[in-house]
Amino acid sequence: MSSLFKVTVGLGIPFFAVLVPMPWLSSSPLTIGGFPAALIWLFICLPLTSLCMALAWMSERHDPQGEE
Amino acid sequence: MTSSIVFAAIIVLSFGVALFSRHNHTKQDSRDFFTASSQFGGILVFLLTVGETYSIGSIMGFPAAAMHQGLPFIDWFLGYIVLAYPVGYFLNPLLWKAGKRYGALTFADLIKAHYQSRFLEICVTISAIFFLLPLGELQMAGLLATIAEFHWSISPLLVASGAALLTFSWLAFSGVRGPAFVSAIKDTIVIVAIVLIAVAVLHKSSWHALAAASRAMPLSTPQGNVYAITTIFTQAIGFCVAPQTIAFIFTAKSARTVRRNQIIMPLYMLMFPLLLLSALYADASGLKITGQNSVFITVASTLLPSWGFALVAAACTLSALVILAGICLSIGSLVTHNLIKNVPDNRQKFYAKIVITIYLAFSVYAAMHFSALMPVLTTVYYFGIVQLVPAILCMVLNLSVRPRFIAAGFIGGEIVSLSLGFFSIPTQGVNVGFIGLLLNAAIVTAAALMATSKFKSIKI
Repeated sequence: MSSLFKVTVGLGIPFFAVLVPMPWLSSSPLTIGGFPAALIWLFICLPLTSLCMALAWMSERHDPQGEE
Repeated sequence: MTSSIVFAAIIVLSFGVALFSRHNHTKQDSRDFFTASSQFGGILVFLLTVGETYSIGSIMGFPAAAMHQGLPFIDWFLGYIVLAYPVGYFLNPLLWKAGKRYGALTFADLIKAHYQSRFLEICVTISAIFFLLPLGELQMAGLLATIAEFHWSISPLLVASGAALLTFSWLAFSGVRGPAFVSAIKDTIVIVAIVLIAVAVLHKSSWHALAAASRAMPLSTPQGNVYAITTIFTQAIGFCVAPQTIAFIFTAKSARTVRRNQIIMPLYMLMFPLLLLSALYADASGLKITGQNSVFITVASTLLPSWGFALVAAACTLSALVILAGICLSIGSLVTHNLIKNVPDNRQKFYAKIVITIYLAFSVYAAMHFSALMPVLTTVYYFGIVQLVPAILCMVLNLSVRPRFIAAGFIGGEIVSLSLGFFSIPTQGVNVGFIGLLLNAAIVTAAALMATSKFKSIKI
């Protein structure tokens, strides 16, 4: 896979997910299960960020010597 | 009594583990003392680099600030930590490779080797030491707040001196291996402690009461959003170029180990929702909180049996000391390796121990006398550290920029950030470190565009 794909998935999506909805969600009284939606979304972003990096990791070829 | 015994047992255990960590490494040279000869596998590197996530500042400061400041604080605090990991996923392996290429012990070694400039090396070294100085006092202050909950009749000076002595003994016996191995105990206890409190909160309080407390937290304002976004951006990249972070990266066996670790780190943050429960419980139950950052420890002492409280206190104490040890190593290596020239390898470890002793004494003294000033200095930590980013990026991307332009950007960025911060000049919510970084990056980019040499290909 290309470097652009790795950077988009591994870096771009987490930044987009955290930063773009933040101004709207954090100023809004919207709730999910009684808790502020901004809080729930931020906590969802934690595993989402790991998932994005895992996808970037799986898309690259790894040097068996481990130094890459 | 039970709490004191359990607490003392864990502290003694940490000393034993630090002592054990030197097994098979009794004759350490300076490289082994500061970077464990780059022999650490995934788990130890993970524990060292992720340690900052659950520092005493996070464990005690996060619930307290979340309770008082609400969503605007939670946004930037969790936002910058979680986004630092993907930045590190791409940047840290490049730093590891540069470290190997130049045989570096410190981040300033990278700067010196790449830019061939003693002036730039001294600039970044002095700046890093200046910004690291207050962090030792911060750990001491958190530790004193924790120990105060035991209500022992021991003076704070004695407690702080004992903590300094314990930290020094870890380092003197085992170098970086000491805090790395103690981190294993620390992180296990931190996780157990946070889960214990979360279970106790859920048992004592209703879900509806906690949800109501969360809805009562202040919402963000347009200016608060600007601050959150610019702070997240500034600190997420600043986190990755912090001198102690780079030193920990150099302990890894391979770039692959460094990169793979980054993937798991955000999952490690799943303790933060549980930490938040302690703040929501304190708010919902109207618990009386005595100290500014004592929400977590007060909830622990209210809800847990004495052995559980001791576990929480030990978790906070070890968190403070592990971070303190990392800062000591960073300052020790920067002084003996970069600030003072031509110290023979066999004397560097000795001089580093002297520097560490002086720094620990300073931290104890500052905790007794400058407790109001130090938090102010701590807030400027990232303003200054983030100004290393353009220099580091040009280095890992192998961009040819003259050191005078790197120095101009770095010094300009620091002056602008610090001036805006210290004189409280209004910036409409924009993080002042971000403004300094923009100026810094503009100077370096202009210089890079003017340079005749261009990229060498690199693999991201």
